[in-house]
Amino acid sequence: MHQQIIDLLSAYHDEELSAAQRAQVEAHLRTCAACREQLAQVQALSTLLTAYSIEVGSTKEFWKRLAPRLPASKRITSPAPARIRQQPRQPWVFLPPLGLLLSRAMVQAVMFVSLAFYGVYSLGLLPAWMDRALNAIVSLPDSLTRSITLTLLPHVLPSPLPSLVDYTIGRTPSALSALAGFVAPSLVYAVVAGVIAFLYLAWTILWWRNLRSAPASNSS
Amino acid sequence: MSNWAGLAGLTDEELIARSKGGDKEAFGELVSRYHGRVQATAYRFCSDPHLAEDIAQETFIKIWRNLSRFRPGNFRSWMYRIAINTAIDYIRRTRPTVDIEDLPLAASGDNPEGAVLRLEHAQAIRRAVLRLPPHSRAALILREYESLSYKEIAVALDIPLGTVMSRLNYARNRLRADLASLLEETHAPTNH
Repeated sequence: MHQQIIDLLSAYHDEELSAAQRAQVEAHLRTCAACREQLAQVQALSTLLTAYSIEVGSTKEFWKRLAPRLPASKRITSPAPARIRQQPRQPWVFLPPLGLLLSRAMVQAVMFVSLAFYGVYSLGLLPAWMDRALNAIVSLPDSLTRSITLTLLPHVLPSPLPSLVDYTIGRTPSALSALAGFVAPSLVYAVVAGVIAFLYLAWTILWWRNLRSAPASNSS
Repeated sequence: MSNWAGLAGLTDEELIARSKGGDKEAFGELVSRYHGRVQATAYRFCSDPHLAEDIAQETFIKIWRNLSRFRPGNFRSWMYRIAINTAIDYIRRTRPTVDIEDLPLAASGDNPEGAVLRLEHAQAIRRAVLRLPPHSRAALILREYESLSYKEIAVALDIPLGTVMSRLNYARNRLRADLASLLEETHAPTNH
């Protein structure tokens, strides 16, 4: 109990205790001379410390030296000391670029597999069961076939672009439609990959800019 | 003291808002309000008048650069946080030239003997404060000289309230031991 009160004397002197703690300390002080003496010493120390005020130079001179050192725009930031620059850890901020990278890698992988498949198919090296499977896909309703075409096997199955070309020039099949059949899915994938790359780049730039403009947060 | 007509009547919050927009005069008024406190805090922390001025300058430059990041709240705590962190960084980087003999004490009306005694006391206090570990020293300075509440100290030093209490207890106990003879001179024990 006595030690507990001693620990509270400093805060009692500073008037930083709750009403209940204050009452507890005051009750103890009425019966304990040692604690009263200790409190008196804390008060005397406070008086002693503040008895000697110091002088600092004139504010006018200080400002004269400071003003030219202030950057014209506060947007120009320089590294603040590490403890001020410190930001709360937010591992989730890495999820968007990670997701974008993974999506990009997946698109690339599908593209690669699709091209390889297309090569095998063109050379007539597909096993019979795969041929049957392809025929089954082609016999599906048109819209479903096209979705599969654009997602899984863009280089093998008919895609919307060659059909449009055939319709426009009225010949089936033509060298042009064959070329379009190859180019269309590639274009789709190139656009998707480009959008992903753009999003990723934009995020990286924003993240880097944010990191550079170090916040001196007053959060507590 | 205000250097800019028309700004003296503005609150800190208004000056901060103007400074955020790039108004250097508003910032100058803010500096004139707090320069003395920041430099005195830095001086008490390192006991080197030249270093204290450098720390104060650096503190206000950081405040200016980062004002846009300041969220409405306790400006004083934020300012002291930057000042103390800057002082700690400076002391780590530079070895302060502690010139206890050349204390810039405020003038008093003492006679020469009284002035010498006064200087000796001030030097003894300065040495004792400097012997404290930096974090306890910071808590003590913010409480005793800048009259910050425990909550403000907790924000300024980025520590819990309990740690503020324990650091102040530690600092005061050490000072009471180090300055025992001086306290005896100036304080007659109470015996109720």
